[in-house]
Amino acid sequence: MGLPTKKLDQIQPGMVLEADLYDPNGLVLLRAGTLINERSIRALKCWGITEAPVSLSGAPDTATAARHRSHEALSEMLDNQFALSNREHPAVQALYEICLERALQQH
Amino acid sequence: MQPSGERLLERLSELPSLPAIYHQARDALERPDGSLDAVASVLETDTALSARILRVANSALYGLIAKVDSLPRALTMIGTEEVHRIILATSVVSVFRDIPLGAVSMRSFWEHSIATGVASRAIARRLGQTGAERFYLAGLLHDIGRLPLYLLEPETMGQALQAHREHRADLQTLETQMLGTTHTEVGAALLTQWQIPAVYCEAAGRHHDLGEDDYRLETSATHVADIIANSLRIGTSGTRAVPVLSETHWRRTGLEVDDLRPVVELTLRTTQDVVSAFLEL
Repeated sequence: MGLPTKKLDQIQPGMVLEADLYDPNGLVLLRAGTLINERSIRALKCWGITEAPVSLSGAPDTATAARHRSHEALSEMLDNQFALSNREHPAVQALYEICLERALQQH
Repeated sequence: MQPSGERLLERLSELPSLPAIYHQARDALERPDGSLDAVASVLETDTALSARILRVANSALYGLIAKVDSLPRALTMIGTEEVHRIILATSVVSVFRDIPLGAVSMRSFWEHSIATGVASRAIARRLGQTGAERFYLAGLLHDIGRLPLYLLEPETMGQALQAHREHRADLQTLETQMLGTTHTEVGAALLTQWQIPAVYCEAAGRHHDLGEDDYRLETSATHVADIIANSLRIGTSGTRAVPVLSETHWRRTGLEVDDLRPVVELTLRTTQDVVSAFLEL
């Protein structure tokens, strides 16, 4: 395994798993990309796993993911709100953009 | 059988009317030898209304440089032209402010109305129009026809709102289907019955009209302002769905797409203060 690993006692919630992690039976325990939380740490302990390839980039990554999710949710809300309007009109389009920008700032 | 829409229009007299003091003040204003002091004396017999007028005069709507604490002084500051409008606006809101509407909150209704008025005024200012407060009043009163619909036909309007939420037909179309009339038709009829100047009747009656016509600028500005207030989700008169923007109204205003952002910003900056002045103690 080429990836650098961390000892169990250094693994913190908010870190991200860099590679799939297997239990002693060879079954996938946690997938690469999993966000480490208290529960996954308990699972590692349970299975007697002493180290795992995790990265610290977890925090910013999840922030990006959250932003992405809220962007999608807000667009969906605005799409509903503008569903009966004429979105192809440049003024309506501009208004939609202003509202999206405003909604994103508020989140 | 008479169509239900006509029957509803005949029942408008069941609604609360403008207070007697509005008519007395209007008479005093129109008297050739009248003075603003005489108008103030009439208004001061109603302490609640006087206090309200003073609050509105001191709100962001007028942007007076110094706070004014006497009614005669406030009337002088805002000018004779404007006195009738401020009395009308405060009387209308006060008459309906504390009546439960059922399906929609009365506060939310007035928030939408005030936001539309403020946006309409912001458009007028952007266009360099004089008498921007005329545009405010046109916006404030644009959906007034919804009040008779909610108050006289609460169940049908409840069903219309439900259908609007489920089937995504616009509320105005559902009003026609279920009541045989619309809030625009009822609004124009109500304001005509109250003998309100024609400019406000047209804005209430035609702010959703999409056809080519020679609309007054107040009507077209209100059409655009209603779309802005709905997109910004400030209050609601029943629906937050953004209506269709009419190319005719848009061209009539002479606005450019780039004007929208400053209009939106001014609307957001001003609305809360004007809402407090009209609705809060």
